[in-house]
Amino acid sequence: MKTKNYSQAFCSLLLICVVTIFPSCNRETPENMEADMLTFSIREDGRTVVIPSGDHVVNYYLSTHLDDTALLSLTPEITITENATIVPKPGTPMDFSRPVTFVVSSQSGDWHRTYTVNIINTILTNSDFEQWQGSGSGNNYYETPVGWSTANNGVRIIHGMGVPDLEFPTYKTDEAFSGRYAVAMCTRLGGQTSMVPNLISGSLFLGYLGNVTLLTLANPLLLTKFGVPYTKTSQLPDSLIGYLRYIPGTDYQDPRGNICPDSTDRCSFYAVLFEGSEPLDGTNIQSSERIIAIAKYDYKTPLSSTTYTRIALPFVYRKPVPQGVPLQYSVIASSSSKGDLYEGAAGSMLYLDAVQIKLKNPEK
Amino acid sequence: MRKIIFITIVAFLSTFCANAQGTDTTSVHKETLPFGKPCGDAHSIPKIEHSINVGVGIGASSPIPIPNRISEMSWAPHPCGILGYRLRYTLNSNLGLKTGLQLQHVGMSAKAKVYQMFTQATVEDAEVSGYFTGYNETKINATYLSVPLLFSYKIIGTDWGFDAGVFVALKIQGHFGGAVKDGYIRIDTPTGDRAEVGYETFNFSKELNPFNFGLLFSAEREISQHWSGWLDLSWALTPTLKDTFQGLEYKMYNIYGFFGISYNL
Repeated sequence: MKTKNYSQAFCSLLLICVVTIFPSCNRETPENMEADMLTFSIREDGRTVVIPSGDHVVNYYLSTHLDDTALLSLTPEITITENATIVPKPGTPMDFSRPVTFVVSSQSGDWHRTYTVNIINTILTNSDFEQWQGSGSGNNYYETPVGWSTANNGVRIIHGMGVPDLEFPTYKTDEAFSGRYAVAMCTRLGGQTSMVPNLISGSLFLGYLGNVTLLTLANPLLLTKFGVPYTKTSQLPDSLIGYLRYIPGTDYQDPRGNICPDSTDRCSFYAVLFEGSEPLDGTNIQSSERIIAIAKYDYKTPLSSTTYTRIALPFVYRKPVPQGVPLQYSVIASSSSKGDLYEGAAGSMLYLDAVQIKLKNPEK
Repeated sequence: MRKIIFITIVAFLSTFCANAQGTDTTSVHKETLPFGKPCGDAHSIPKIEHSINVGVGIGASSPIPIPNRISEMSWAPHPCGILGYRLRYTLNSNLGLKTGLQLQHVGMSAKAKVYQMFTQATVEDAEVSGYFTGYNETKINATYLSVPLLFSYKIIGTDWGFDAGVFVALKIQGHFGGAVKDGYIRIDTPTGDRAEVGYETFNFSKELNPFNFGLLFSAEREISQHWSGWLDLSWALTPTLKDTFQGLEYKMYNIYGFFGISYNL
């Protein structure tokens, strides 16, 4: 059969092709190029934190208060990407009274990530915003007050999506109320590409920014993970105090970008005490049933645009403190109170300095 | 690569021209023509034969070798077709030179699991590049106008003939696109920010190489006085996508086989 001959011949040709290609394939398992710190824990504390992939700074809040001398010898336990290596080697006691830098190197050795770990042992660390840590490089460089979180890393992701000149909304300023520095938060105009929100408000909070992904950028309320352990369970918070200065931007706009001439932008400044070890996020930070108390700026005291105004806000308790349950708290500030809904005015500026949490029944 | 292309074409053309200028009819057996067929008119051997080819085929555009960052591959051929004219210039009873002009459509779909592979994807209107881990679907369709340049060998006493040589091709139209899904991309570098990828598309059609050059092997069997069956394997040596394209860390090559029939005029 002639057709049979042809098909045989064709098959042999294909076979030649396949045989030529495949022996030359290198089917060894490829080297892992990633170099991430995945989780961080302090053996003496026991709490484990999962590290979002964009982070270079790990704020580890001890879940029980330790003496400051205990920070001189704590044992880190760290998980990293498969086959990667880490220096210095975890598992042995180290001095965490200052930030410790770890370098994770990929299996191939070509790729590295540097992590700075802050062990935080106090309620409201660095609340005068004097200590700052840098991340990234070039136009991706931004600074964060030690122990605090911002949404700046989300802006870094936006830089990679074709908007490289978008300025970071939260930054260090020397226009301070006390000390050298304060936090400046500025609402930025985003837009430009459809994946980038119209408005990006400046924000500062205790907690962490979750994995910034193409998906979560579209729903940023889920990105902000609020809460750090509240360790002074014998003393509950009484009031939140801060020094604020606010300059609302002009041209208030709704989420669609329409200008609303009658609206003026407002900042937000509040603290939440809640139960449970899981964080709250932007969808439930003021509504969750886990909330025990909230102290919230209600705009009754007007803010000056030129000088700092002292704001003292009592914690309003919604329910009694449950026993035997871990407590968490967060302090949150934003240059546009509806910035999470992409509403506000570009250029709104909030300056924040000298934040305190006054405790009830102080220990004698 | 350009040197190879140039030398091959010059070699072919010089052989072709040298023989075309010769005035003598190539000496052949008076009684037989190639393929061992008795010849009605033993005095004239056709110096130039013409044929019209039509055929179908399958193949792939593939990196060679397949990088170890690609696994779980599956491949689905798209209907490929060829329509062409070929001219054979007889050198002697065995040997000849072939050229022609053919319209060739190739295509395939491939799915694979990729591991930390550099790629680009367009998310909405933003272009994101980085190292992707997850699943990849690629679809390629391209039409080329191609000129084969072949040395042709006929086995006397049989119906068989074999050709080997090169082809040069110009892309007329083409699509190269697909999707990345169910994975994540590390932006810019393997240690860059991680972004989850549900389903995002890419389109590299503009990056298709307008020029293609490669090896061409052919087997042919005469069925009757006018009809033959044939089989081609074309193996491109120039990449499917432009050399300057940085969106993939490997180069892909068109490897396609065709079979069909030809009518000898």
